[in-house]
Amino acid sequence: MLSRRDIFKYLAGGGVGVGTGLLLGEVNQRPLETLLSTHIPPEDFSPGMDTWYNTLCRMCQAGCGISVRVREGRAKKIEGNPNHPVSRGGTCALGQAGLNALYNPDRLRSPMRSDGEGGFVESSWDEALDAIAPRLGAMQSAGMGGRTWILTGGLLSSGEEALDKFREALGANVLRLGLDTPATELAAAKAMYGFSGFPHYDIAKADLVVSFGADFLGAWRSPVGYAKAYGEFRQGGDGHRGYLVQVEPRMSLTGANADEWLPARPGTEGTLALALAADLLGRRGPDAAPAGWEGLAGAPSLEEAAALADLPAGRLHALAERLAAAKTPLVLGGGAAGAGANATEALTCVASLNRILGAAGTTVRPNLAHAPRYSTLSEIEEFVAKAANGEVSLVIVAGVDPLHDLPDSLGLRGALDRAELVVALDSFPSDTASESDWILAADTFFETWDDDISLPGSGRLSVTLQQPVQKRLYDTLSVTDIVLQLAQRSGGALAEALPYEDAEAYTRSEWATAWANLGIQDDFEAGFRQVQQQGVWVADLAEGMADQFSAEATAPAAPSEAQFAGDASEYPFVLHPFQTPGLREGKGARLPWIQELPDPQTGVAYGSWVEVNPATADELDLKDGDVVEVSSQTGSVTSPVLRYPGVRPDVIAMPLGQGHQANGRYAQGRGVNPASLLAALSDGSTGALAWAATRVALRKTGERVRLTKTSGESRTLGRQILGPDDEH
Amino acid sequence: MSATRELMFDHGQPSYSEVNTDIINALTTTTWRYWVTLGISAGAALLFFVAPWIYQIIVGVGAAGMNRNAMWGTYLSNFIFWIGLSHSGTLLSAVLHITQSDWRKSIYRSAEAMTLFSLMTAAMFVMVHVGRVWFVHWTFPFPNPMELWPNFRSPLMFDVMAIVTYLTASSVFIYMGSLPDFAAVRDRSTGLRRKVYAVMCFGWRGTAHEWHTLGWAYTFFAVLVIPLAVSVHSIVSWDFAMSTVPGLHHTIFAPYFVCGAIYSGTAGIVTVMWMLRKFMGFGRYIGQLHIDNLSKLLLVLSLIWTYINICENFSGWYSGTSFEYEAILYRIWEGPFWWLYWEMILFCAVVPLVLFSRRIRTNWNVMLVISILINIGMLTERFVIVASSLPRKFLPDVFGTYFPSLVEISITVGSFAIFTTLFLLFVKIFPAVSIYEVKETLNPLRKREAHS
Amino acid sequence: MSTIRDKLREYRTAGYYTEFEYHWTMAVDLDRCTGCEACVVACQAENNLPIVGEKRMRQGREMKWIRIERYWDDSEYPNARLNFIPMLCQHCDEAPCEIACPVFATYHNQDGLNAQVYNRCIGTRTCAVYCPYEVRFFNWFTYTWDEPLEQQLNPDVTVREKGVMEKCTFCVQRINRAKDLARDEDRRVADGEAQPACAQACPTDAIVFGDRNDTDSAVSRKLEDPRAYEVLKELNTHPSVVYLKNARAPLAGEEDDGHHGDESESHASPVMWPDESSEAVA
Repeated sequence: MLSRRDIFKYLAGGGVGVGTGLLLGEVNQRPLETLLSTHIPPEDFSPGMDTWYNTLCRMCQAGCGISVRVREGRAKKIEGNPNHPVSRGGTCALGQAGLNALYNPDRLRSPMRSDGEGGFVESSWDEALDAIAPRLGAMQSAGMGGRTWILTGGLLSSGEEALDKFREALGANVLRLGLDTPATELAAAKAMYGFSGFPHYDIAKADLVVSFGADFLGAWRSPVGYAKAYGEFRQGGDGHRGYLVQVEPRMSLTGANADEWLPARPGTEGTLALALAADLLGRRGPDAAPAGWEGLAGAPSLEEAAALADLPAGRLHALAERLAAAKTPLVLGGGAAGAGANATEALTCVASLNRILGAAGTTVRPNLAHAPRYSTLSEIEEFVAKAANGEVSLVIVAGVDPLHDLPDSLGLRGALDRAELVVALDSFPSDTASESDWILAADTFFETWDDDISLPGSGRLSVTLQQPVQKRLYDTLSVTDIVLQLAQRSGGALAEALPYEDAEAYTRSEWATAWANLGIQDDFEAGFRQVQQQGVWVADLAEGMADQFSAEATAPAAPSEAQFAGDASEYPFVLHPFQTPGLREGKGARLPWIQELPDPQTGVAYGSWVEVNPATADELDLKDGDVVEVSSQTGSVTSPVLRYPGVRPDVIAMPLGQGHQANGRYAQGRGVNPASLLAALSDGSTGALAWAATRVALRKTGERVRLTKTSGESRTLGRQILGPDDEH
Repeated sequence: MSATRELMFDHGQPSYSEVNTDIINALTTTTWRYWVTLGISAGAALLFFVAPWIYQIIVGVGAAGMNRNAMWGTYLSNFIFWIGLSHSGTLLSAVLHITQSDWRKSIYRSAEAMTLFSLMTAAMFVMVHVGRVWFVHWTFPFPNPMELWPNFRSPLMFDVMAIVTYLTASSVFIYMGSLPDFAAVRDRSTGLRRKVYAVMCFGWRGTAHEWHTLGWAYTFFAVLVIPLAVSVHSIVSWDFAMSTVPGLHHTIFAPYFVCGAIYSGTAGIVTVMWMLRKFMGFGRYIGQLHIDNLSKLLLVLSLIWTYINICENFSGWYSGTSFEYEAILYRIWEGPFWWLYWEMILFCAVVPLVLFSRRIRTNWNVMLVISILINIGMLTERFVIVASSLPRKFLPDVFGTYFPSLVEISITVGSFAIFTTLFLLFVKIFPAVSIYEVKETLNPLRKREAHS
Repeated sequence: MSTIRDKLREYRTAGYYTEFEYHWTMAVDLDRCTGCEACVVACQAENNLPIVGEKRMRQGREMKWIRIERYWDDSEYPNARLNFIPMLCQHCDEAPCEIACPVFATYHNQDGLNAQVYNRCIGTRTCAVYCPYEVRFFNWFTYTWDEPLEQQLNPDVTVREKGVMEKCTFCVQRINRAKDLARDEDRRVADGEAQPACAQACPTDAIVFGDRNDTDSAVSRKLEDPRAYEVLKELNTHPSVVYLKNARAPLAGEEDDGHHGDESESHASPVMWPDESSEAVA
């Protein structure tokens, strides 16, 4: 007989048992670390206390050092790393928004497989790697590695090195892509200074900076480093105030801050520089030129140059005088001036000014003698042609978004369509990744190991270490990890070339090898720990690593006449695509803070616009918000007009970076992408894409929208907001 | 005196009993038309005021059209409008009582009721306006354990004090004046109504002592209410004038607002008088004299108002600063509400000039139109002041625009329904025309005739 | 009687504090400022500013405690010039907003900061109307973050609900942290120890922050610069943010009547330029 007491006993016992079981089940379901962390937190974890990690910012190519504030295991805030020789504690808007990439709701959380109908299904790493590695193995053993193409950016990093080792072992091809690559700038530096790397521009030391198209305060190469120097240049405390002259068809952020903005006709920058150079040589005598110059053949007079560039000659004379009088002048060239069909010739002329002015060695200084080699237009065309012939089996897209960033006219979309297998290594469903067969979800730079040598640099060797500041949020791997895993699973030469367990082991090994090569005998672990603390390793450039000014240089030739795609009568305007400090080429578009950030000069947020000179706008009867169709020979987009007093009447300017077809909720379908309009035209010398040499036509559609703009009235109305009037 | 009396009653003098019958019948006999009207207006109040307000409480004040530039919008301008509308009733009644103007007697009860209900509507707008209405009681100085007090330097704090005081004084004033009439209703009714009115009249018996005390107390309150009414709208104007905002920061704002308030309030009385005549059958008690006198008052107020308006614009121009100058220019010409400004000038400064004609002054229907136009003008005046000044203050880069949202428009419309509902309830509870005071104005001869 | 008079005087004193323990002050050098907006995003990250979205931004409801204002001078192309000025709460010592609030949700604290008490705010928005700098922002809605963006939120800063006014605090959480640390070590906060997010992010070091009471501090030295001025000084607000005027020389002779005469060939027609002989040289 079961007594009532017994029933209670069983019930109680059963209850306790079930409870314990549930509890154990609950406990067992959780990863061990979570259970443990409630008792023994990780050593760098104390509730309510901040932990700071010095690491690398990978939001753009500049390679600044940052400090990340981490609280309770979550990154909270990015600050500049004061130890870093390039950024020196500063950050930019895009860098500050880096956390939006880490916590972005549209980040990829696991590897994704295309379902063949435009959608993606979640997958696992084993499945993904097993789908790709056997192909690699097969290609490797068949010696058909050349059928693989790797599309990547161009950094001087260990991660890029791993990709390169992988490529080499496989015998694959690589394309280093980007719209605004420094290819022409590097070529000009090579021609005029004999440099193999990117020159170090010491803006802080200059008393006069003349910049031909280089928006060094906004988006050019290393905005933070240059901005730091700019602060010194303006108000360094020693009483001198630098004078800034900006020569460009559309007033960039740098142009807006310049003392003088000279809207030269696009494509005439080189001729202008050459005329200035000839004028200076005339003033200083032929001794000012480097050995080997026979004089400047074909150099126009300042008047001729002024007429060509549609600038008043008086202005140019004043500029020449200013250059002649300056003690430490510096001339920069880049941006749109480095993106015409005659760009290298133009930038060489610009760089020649530095040699004549004696800036070479004072404000232009040697840097690391090494730079990535960016792919030329013909290499891209070769890839497209091979893909069309079915000779491309595998495309690995590593962290770049060429379908968005590069012109449609290159035909990359078709090429990727025809490739047998496209694998994208990306943290986001970017435009390119969304067209791939596999997206291997990559870490953000907050979650993994890497390093970078800043290309614009600081005149010293500075290698920034990237280290994880927090645990991975999702089931992701770093690009390096994926490459290592693929190599291991493919076996053969690939596995031998990259015998590392993970990105951390690989990065450490790279550093150890590098230090050993440099003859640094210190205890590696201690040294590396110190780098982890500092976030950066700085050393003087050793013999043979630094660029040397060549004693001789060939005198710059007169630049050929600028070529533009499109007939001037049919396409009356030159399209000037520009990067805003936030959006850049498009990486900023998926970050809500950047989308919500008004463009500095116009106050427009969220979306694209077409900048038209008010005089041109009046002529075409265009008001702010009138939607126009901008069409080139190869495409057209529609976007609202913004009357902008800082653009030439024969130029229209459009911000890059919007117009994504994918890339998450903040970017997708917002604005238009002017890169899609660009013609496949290249610089004559380097073969780099000439992205500022496309002509377009404007057509009013009749539609009208209201721009999302924070700026009301952009005139002071006589109110002394910018300071009391001087006469008072 | 007798000529005045003739003018007061359009259809000849009523007898004492007729007065009682007429006025109390209006309370006790309720037609289906009344119920329909009440139903419509209460329904409109629910639909247009309460429902959008609840929506706004749920999603946040963002349901309204206000933005970074215009942090105040129609809610605040309506608040000021309703406060203004409240002005004439009690003020006029008190002033006329002290100056012993007989013609006041048949209209003052409704006028005071208007005061009360427009104040209540105004108070509603305070609550609609604030971001966290659930904490609105923090504006009152009540003892609390955290010893947190309101900020006595704040003009909004003054506002709360002024409105509460005015509301209290007006309520007491109207209630006290109604005591003998409640007693009259009690005496004329039976059943529950009799019991209720017996309580409401505090057992009024009509002894000489009671009459004496009432007269004394009534005069005391009348004297008290006058400075209060002036101060209330001065204080409301300080909400604006104490800011630095160009277009609001004017020392003339206190008299401007007081004058505007009395102006719109008087026009409101004219409208209500017309309604009472038309729908409540009080034509006998509200006559030519009333409308003529009120119209004269309107004319004088309109001239003062115009003068101040010119002053305001002149000082903006004369200041020579970009802030004031641009603010005025934006208000009257460049802004999106320039047409509202000129509409206001037309309705409040130009149209009332026809009141110089006696024929127009004594024409009830024309006066109805004019009084409504004046109040539309005054409603837009407050809106124009707020909506054209706030979006453009000092820093041109943040200049913006402001347009009311549907929620705001709906609540504005709904506020009239709330006012109407309250008034409709009032006419069935209070004798809308003072019985005993109308009797005081009757011709004594006729009194004797009635008795004989 | 005297106590009443004292009380009256006390009530007439702005913010109750007349002497400040620290007098936090910011100097913004407009000659260094490039308008790059790093400060704007840094502030958004530090202070949990919501992402309001495009629709609400269009309605003029953006939340940016610090913003860059842009002003073109009165010339036209090609002489047009653009000026930037960062605008944030000026922490006025005679703050117009502080007299406005009926419930004391905004007041002047012992450090000379214009403090905003979110808990106390009932949302009359009077402070924002009274603020001549338009640096007060109202929570028109309860803003949310798309998951997992909320994991970024700064644990030291309150997330505000609908109906509450908010504005720049000079990163009071950082100031308090520095003060706590200093108090533990029984010293005053050192110059540069407390830095608001905008100042820390600024790549050109245009923003300098510190204690004005300390005459040796970097910010005190900036205040003595002849370029120093206060925005809207005529309103007598005594701001704690001082600007250093841009030293850019004006382009000489800015009359540019009749340039681009023939607009149909605008790109071919020469541009009229100012008189070069009177060119100002900095």
